[in-house]
Amino acid sequence: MAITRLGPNNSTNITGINLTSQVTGTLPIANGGTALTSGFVNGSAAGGSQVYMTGDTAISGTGYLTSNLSVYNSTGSGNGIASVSSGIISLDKTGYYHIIYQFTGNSTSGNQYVNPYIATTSNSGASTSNRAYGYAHGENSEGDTFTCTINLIHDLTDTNEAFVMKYQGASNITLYGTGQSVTSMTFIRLGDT
Amino acid sequence: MNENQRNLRYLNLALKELNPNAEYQATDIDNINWMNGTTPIPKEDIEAKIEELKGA
Repeated sequence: MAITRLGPNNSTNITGINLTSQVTGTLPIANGGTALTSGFVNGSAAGGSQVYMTGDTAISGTGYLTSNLSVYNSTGSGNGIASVSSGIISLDKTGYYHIIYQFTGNSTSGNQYVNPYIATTSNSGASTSNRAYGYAHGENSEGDTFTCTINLIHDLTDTNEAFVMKYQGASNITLYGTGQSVTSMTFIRLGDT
Repeated sequence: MNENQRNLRYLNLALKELNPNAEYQATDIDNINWMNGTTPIPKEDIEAKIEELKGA
């Protein structure tokens, strides 16, 4: 038992205990739970959400995905929930995040390579900073499709820093998008920054 | 490959033939986001090129 003192004289009538001055140590889970009524959102350190691309998109060149992006499967607000506008993905809480970028598509002609990147921006996409990347490859004549998955642990210290689903060096590539996670970015909040 | 993906394949092929350096994102022929200073290609030119490719 970590509690060193609980109430005067170990009384069974423990109303009016001053937690600041009369209790030390760690508190166990009380009978019926130990939820707090204010000051915290109980049990909310972790959270997460996903941004899916909802329709197929042909891409060429270098850029970040800007359309057909929707947020799905979010936990409650205030827990690291994503919102997306013109491809700029913002989170509603700072913290350490595990970010997963799934990049799925095919080559529509020839032997093609493309690099997907998890990138951040603090100026609405005017410039981006690459954080993690991968290599995807497809050969059209072979009927190839690819799925490339990139992982990043990121310390988000300012919610003005946003994320983009970036790619580089695309040519004759179609990315797949549906009502499920096939091309997507997932944000899992691990804890406070 | 579904019909939409086949259409996007022809769109990619047509755009590459019309401008090999074109940079874009497109969900269909009516929704092309020209990027990084790429000069937009008229829709009728794209449609004509797609028909040419389909007939080849």
